[in-house]
Amino acid sequence: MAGYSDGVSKSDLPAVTLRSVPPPAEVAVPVAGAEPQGYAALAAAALAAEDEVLAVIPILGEAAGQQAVDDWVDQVVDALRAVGEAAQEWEHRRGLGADR
Amino acid sequence: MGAPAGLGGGPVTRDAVPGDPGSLARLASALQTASRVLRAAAPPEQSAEQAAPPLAPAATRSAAKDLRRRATLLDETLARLLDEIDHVSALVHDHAVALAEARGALHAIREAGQRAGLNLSEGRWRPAYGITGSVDRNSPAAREGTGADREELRQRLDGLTRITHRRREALTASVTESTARLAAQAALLRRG
Repeated sequence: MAGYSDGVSKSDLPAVTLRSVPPPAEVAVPVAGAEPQGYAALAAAALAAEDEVLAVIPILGEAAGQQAVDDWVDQVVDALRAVGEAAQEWEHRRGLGADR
Repeated sequence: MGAPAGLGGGPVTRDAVPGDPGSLARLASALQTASRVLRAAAPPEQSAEQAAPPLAPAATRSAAKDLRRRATLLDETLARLLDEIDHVSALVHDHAVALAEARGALHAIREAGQRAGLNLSEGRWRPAYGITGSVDRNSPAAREGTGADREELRQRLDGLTRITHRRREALTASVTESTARLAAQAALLRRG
């Protein structure tokens, strides 16, 4: 049987078995469309929660009460944005730390 | 107790029992969904610990300490935010149910008024148009239109309006307090 073109015979190569191949979970390969994890997932959830709340127009039917509910909705959306921003900031800083 | 029109962000009516229970129930449902989504996405508590390897160099340890502090702040603020969302969601849901019941009671009062030849318009009883009641003064329809019946209708309507107003005032006060707490939490989080 002819050897390999670079002169290395097959018998010189280390034996490769399935046991010696690391399982896929140990290989950090980014997968397009994968679910975000950790605080990245929280940032995405905050955005989804914001959309959920803003999709509703509550009608209290009286000026003072309506103003109070509208203000609360605005404020809870602002708080959700703050959570999303803080979660993204955390992931950003963690990324910087990992690069060091 | 008609509400002045043109104030606030949403439609305002001059109905005796103003408000749309359906829209309030939808808000409560959206808040429950938002709370569920956030709770499911909240990272486990050990996330911050994993970001701080114990034997890392000093600079990395400092960055890890900052990450832990930020994670703790974020976790605590998120927990308080979820409590606020759950709290207001329950209040809005209860108000929606009470409002639906009140509107049912208002419908019954309106029907009683119509049997007595009265129409309810903008919180006031007015004589219905056309031929109402009966020429027979002893008939049930004629008896319902007496002054005593009108007074009873007025009292029922006033009672219903008063209870609805009181519930709305309580919801307004609770929601206003919650808004202040939410603003404080958002500011705390943005200070970092």
